[in-house]
Amino acid sequence: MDMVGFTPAEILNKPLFDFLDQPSITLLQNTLHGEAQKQGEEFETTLIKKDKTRISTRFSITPYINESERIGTLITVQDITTQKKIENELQEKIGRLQKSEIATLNIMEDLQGTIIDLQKAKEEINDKNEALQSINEELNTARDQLSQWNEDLEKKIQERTIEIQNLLQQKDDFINQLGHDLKTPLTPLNTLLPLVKQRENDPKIIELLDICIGNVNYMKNLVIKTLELARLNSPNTAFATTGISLLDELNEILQQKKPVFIEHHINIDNHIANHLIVEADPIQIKEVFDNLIINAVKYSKPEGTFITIDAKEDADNVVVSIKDNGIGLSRKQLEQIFTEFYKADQSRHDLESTGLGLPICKRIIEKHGGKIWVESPGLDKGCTFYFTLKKGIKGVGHERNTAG
Amino acid sequence: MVKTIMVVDDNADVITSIKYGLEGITDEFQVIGAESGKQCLSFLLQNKIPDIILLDIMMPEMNGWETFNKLKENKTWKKIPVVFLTARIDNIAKNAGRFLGEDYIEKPFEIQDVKNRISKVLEKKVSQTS
Repeated sequence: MDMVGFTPAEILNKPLFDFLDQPSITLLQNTLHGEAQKQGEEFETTLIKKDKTRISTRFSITPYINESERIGTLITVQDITTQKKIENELQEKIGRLQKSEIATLNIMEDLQGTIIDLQKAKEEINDKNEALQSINEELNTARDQLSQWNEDLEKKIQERTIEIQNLLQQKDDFINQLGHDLKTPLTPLNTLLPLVKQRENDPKIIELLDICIGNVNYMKNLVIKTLELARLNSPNTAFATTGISLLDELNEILQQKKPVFIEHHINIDNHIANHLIVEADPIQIKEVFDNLIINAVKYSKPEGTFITIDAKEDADNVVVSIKDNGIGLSRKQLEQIFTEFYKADQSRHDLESTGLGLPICKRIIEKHGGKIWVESPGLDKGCTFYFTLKKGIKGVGHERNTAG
Repeated sequence: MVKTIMVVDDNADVITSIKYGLEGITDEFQVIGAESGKQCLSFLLQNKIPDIILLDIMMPEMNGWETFNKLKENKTWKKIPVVFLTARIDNIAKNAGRFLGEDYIEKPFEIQDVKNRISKVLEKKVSQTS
């Protein structure tokens, strides 16, 4: 009675149907009218409690049979709420398990998919690897070929360099041979023409002889300067530099040129300081002074020229300047003036100028590791030559190769 | 006293130049010529020896160096001062180690320079012997 919450008095003599809902009534009726009459049956249904709540119950229907006739029916009602609850929980768990199984299956499926994808990717990678390998092989072949070409190229460059060196040597040899071959026949002309002139009284013939002598002198200078330039250009000539007094070398040249200065009305203004020591070959430095000063004289104005010589020193170098107020240089002349055989006035038959003096200066200064340049504000405004030399210590010298 | 200058050069024009050149500016010197090293040596065998020899370097058959060596092998001739005549100073430079102290004149020369050089060498010779 506890099961349904009624007191015994409340349920006594009351039909069972009063405690059932409609589906349960139908179910019970169907069961009672069916096979259960003979054999008994069990089913589950809900029972309405006194407080109108429902509980799960199991109905066991057992017929009482006497001589194959039903004489009564025993209906046992069992509360199976707990059982149901457990069943439900079990069901739920099973459901959940099933769900998780499904999830697992899904994951497995996904995993399988992923594995397939991975395998595919692996295959692709393998394919790509193979492709890369073949590209690598091609690259290796190409690299080998390239290095072969490089070697060939280097070999060719070496061969060409040797060829060029040989050609340069041949050129030097040729210039030397030609120069010296010209020097010998120049010797009698140079010596005998002045003798002939001395013994001649006819002024007309003396004038012609002067022309001959002038041209012989010119040719002689040209040969000497060409040979000198060839010698300076040759990579085989070495020269020795030593710490020398710049002023001493300049004074030697100024002393030598005194008659020329007087003849051309040249005033020399020398500001070079006594203490300046440069590292140089004294003969070559005198040659540079000689060329630059004679150049200034050559392009002086007829009424006279001032030549100002100065030198400034910095930490490592001495910059020498030779400034004149002569005829000056145009822009084009400034560009060309250190070019071999260039003459400021191409049309002039100038027996004084070989066009080699300044290139020789340039070569000498460069071989000393210095620079030479010229500045001029323009024609008729004079010009200034500059060159640099390394400072030296008096008497301390070095062997130098002129190459470079 | 007139000094005898011997010029050895295969180019006869060079000999003539020096001869007329020197005789044109001074009467101190008498110039004799030889057109080869051999001619020079055979002249020395037969004649009185000169005060100085101007010796060309590039000559056929027997060049200046060979002639110079022959001169130095002879007891009498080795005392004659020799001045080389050359158009190629690089030749002198190349042999400078072997012939250190020997003077040279570069072609083409100024006759006044030749005269000065000869005078200098002869003065030195006098100061050494005396």
